Amino acid sequence: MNLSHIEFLIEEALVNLRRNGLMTLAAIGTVALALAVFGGFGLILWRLENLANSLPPKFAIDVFLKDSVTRQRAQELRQQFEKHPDIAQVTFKPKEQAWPEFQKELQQEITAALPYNPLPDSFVIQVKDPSRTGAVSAWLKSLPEVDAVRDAKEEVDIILSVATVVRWIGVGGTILLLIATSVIIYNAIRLTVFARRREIRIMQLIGATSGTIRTPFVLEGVVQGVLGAWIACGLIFGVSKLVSHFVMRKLVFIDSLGGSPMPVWVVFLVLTLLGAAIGGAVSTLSVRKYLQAA
Amino acid sequence: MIEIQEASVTYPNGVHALRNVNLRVEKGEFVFLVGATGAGKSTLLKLITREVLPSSGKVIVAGRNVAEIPPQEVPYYRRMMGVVFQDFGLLPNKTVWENVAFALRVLGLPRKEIRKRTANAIELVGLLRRCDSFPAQLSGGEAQRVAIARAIANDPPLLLADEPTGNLDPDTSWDIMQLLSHINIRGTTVLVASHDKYVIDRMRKRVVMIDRGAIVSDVPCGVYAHEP
Repeated sequence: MNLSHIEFLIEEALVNLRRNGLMTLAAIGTVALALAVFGGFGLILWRLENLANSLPPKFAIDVFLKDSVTRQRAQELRQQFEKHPDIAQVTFKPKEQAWPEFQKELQQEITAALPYNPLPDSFVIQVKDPSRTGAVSAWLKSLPEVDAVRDAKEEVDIILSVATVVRWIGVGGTILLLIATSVIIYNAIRLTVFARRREIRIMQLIGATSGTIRTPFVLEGVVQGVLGAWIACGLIFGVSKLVSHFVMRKLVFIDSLGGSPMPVWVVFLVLTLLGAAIGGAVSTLSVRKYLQAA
Repeated sequence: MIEIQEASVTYPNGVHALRNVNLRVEKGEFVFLVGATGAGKSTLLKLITREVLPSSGKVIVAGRNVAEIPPQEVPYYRRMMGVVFQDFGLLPNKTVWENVAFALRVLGLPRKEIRKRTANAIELVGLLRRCDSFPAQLSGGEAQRVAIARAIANDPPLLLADEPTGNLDPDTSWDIMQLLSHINIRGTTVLVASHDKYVIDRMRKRVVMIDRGAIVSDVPCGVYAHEP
């Protein structure tokens, strides 16, 4: 295959795309909608996953020390905690600091009556892996200097199991949607090929090889897939901008959880590759049927 | 050029399209295949293009048994013949020039050569001034001329035409036949399936008559004979 032949095949694809304008638009539109649904679903999942991952660190372990423990001993304990493989962060909270916070949280009149600060010194400990919360707090409880440990093991467990379920629903849903998307795109592109099945027979009788007939169709499929993917990206980003503008602001709870910003270029790249792959594959399939006919 | 020996074709639906057909066409001949619709004319042409394989018997074209041509070589085999259809078979999204050039471009010829041959073929059928028209903008006669130009652009030794005048008025039909005859005189073997009595009777060429899948008469310089 020489250069001028490759040029011929590409030119064929581009001219066909332009001159079959309506068919091309219909196929691109279908690809765009199908991929937009797929990509939108993916983004929502990614957001949920992010949410689930960002929740557990908020459930820190509070470690209250016995009154008898000196500040110096507390510093030693802090170093010991920091060396623990499961612990990510340790914050020491002296009773002088805890008291005003506590007073602020409660109503001041009640606490004002107290003649002394009843709170102990404490640590706030963040665990690296939320599922290790139970083990870490059990270890902390066993230390002689520790009076009490308050963790959110139950809450963490619930969040973790929700995250797992969300993940599996996500995987299943993604696979199903991918199949549905492929089928829809297959139908759209098959129609464009069907409309031109006579051309395929004419080309065969002229003596065009199967490769020469197939390649422009496949290139057209790839172009339709990629253009559709780009429109889908536009749709997704447009809609998510609107949603975050009007909805997320009201849901302060969700917004305050943060999470990383939307991976714009990842969505763009994934959808583009997906569009190209599906477009090329379904064109190949569609043409094959008519190539075999004669 | 073409030798068909005891060829029979039975379609999967059980229709016997051809029964024990024997036909020999020499290089440079002009042959009419005549017969009623459904007699088997198109099937006979499809045996030669290798769109249909004989259920029994042999089809030999240019010394090759077509049944023995492997599928991947069929495109190359078909380049030795031009084909013209009743409905012209032009690619609707291509101009006259592009339709003719397309047949050469798929062969991978150099650009200069394509331009030269395309111009020659279109000139031969007298349509140079319609080069930029699309098939839908042409009259039936013009469209068939373009189809013929495409069929001969590559200068194939064999030209097959399946009811080339089926959709045309008598005067235009006559012009198209004259054109085919002109191409034949240049050395191309021409096979025309037709039931256009008016044209066939005036042409005085070899006439092979097919009826219900069998050859019933073969007359040099013949006319469209009545049912025997």
